[in-house]
Amino acid sequence: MTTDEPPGPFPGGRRLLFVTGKGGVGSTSVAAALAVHSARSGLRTLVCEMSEGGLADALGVAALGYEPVEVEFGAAEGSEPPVGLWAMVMDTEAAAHEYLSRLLHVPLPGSLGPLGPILEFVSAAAPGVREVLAVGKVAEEIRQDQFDLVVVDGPATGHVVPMLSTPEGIAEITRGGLLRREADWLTDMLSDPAVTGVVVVGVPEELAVSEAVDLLERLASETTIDPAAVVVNMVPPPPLSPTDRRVLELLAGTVESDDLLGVIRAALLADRIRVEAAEVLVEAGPLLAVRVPHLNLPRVTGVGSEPELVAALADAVAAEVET
Amino acid sequence: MTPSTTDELLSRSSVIVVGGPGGVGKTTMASVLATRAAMISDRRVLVLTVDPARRLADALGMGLGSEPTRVDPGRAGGELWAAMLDSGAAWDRLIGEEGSAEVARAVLQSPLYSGITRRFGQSHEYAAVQELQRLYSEGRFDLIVLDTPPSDRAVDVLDAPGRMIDFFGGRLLRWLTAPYRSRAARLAAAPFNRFAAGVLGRGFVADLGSFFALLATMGPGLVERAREVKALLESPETGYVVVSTAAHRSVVETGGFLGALRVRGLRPGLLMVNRVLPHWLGEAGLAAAVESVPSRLGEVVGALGRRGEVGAATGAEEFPDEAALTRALAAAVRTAGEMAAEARDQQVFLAELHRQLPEPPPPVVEVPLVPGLSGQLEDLGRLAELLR
Repeated sequence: MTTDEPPGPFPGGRRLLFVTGKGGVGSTSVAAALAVHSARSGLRTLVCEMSEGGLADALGVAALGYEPVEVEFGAAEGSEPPVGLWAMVMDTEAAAHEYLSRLLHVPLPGSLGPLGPILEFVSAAAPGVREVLAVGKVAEEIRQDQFDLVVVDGPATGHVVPMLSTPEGIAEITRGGLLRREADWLTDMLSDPAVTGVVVVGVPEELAVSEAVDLLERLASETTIDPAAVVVNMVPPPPLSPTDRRVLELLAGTVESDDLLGVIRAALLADRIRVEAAEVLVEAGPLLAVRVPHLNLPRVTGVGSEPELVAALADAVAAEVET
Repeated sequence: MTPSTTDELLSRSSVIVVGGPGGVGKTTMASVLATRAAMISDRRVLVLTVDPARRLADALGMGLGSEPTRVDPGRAGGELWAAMLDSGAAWDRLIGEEGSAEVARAVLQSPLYSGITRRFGQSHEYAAVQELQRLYSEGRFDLIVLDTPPSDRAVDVLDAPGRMIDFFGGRLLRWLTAPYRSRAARLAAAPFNRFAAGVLGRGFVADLGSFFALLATMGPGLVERAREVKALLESPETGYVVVSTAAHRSVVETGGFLGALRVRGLRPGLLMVNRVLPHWLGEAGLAAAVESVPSRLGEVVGALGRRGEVGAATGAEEFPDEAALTRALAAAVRTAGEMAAEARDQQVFLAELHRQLPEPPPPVVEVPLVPGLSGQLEDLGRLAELLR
């Protein structure tokens, strides 16, 4: 973390990205935007939400299920609609079903039948079974080369380290069985920085930044997984220039016209909010300055729908990745 | 039954559960509510927070640990205390209280124990409500404000005791622990164990079995405790405060949380909308000004320029020239326009939040976005003043 090497490109050929952030930082929109950008660049891309949340909304589709479906996402201005974007929502029971059929070499009936509650119990009781199933499913898509890139809209920061450290943990406490074999190959894939990376999403607020820093530290100390990028989302436009600010502060005291005064007061209030965000970003710089690419995505206002927001963010990702 | 003000809710509750989507400022709002409660009465108030961000932990002086610590917000009539949840310690205490000395020692030493209590789903949520119940039954505080753990589903907290009861009362625990009971039980459980061993590995299943056999000896005690927690969460002494923000994702998740309260027969006692911009920013007046000012910028600058001497008279070192005025006003128009768009977005989402509330609606408090708030104790006091 202390070398002077510049960060490599993003995503730098990685195949599996786990996107995570504190609640409310917009990690689902960011995951969707990364996937849209990837699909627009011509990669077959799957975006997978770990528990049902806002992904369907973000992509403008009615609902998503366990089976990946191809999503027609609105085109960027003047470009063709992206092809090759798929989306799904994780379902651990379905993942278990698929795994067991494959690993036990027996076709299973549509429902797990009596195995259902057993599996539910085992996965509640045995730490990590659910996590291994969920992470295993997305990793399997890469192993079988179904997609060029899988973007996982992971659980919130508090849960992502346990999820990603589970395969290793399982390998430590089990001495055999299918689960152990799964854990072993998963650990290999997750710890390969050429394949897997974590994208930490934050916003320019002090609390969110300190949480992002904590997460980077925990990823380094508790997992073998490489950070792939830090995304700072909802970055407001820069504050006013010091000269403009001085002039407007002066005018706020002398202007009599109500509408002009309203404009000036609104601008000065926005400026105070932006100054604070800018200070947080400056303070966060050294803290986040691990050797990972840093993407700033703008605060988007006035869009009518979530897909429009995602499209705007995907444009911003494209601009950031190219610079 | 629905309180009509924040103060009424605070005065008549013994427990306040603060829930809502992640990232909306739940911990800060829980602290503000507790500060308010201590401000308006002489009650002893505890805010029990989970995972507080460092800055708030500093403000509340909680560097010390999970035992309640007195904090002084300055204006309180009552007492304000704060504690931070340590879910590992809460589990250790529960096991120590419910198991015999020998069983407790064996459980605490099992390598599975920390994996299960510190990592697996919902154990943190259960620890939070269990700790709430313990502090409540000790009777040291008149009001406990619980800030719920960050969770993909805020309702996990409400469901945690029920899951615990199902777990220890269920058939599957008996299967897994069968080899430790009788030959008949062993035979009945054999297919299950063969399957589990194939998937999980034989050694691991044996470890799990012996671990849960130990835990099962305290099953009845744990079930009893979980029932007490459930009763407290459903008691009329417990009030629910929903914290949200006027943003798309929070509105959707808040709707989910309100629905979860409804199906459990619970009612929100208060909705707090955090970080609300002043309403005038979203009103037509500002939008019209943003539209009209650019077309008469020359006129405006001219008029201001002629009043240069007035500016000089007010003590300003140098009144800006026309070029500087033009630049600054153009920046102001652009910035004000962006701010107005943001405020209008907020108004739409605020209206949606109101629509989601049950009838009769609980009081709704808008907590303003205050730039420059440092998050220190005095700021909690300032926000608490605004709640009236």
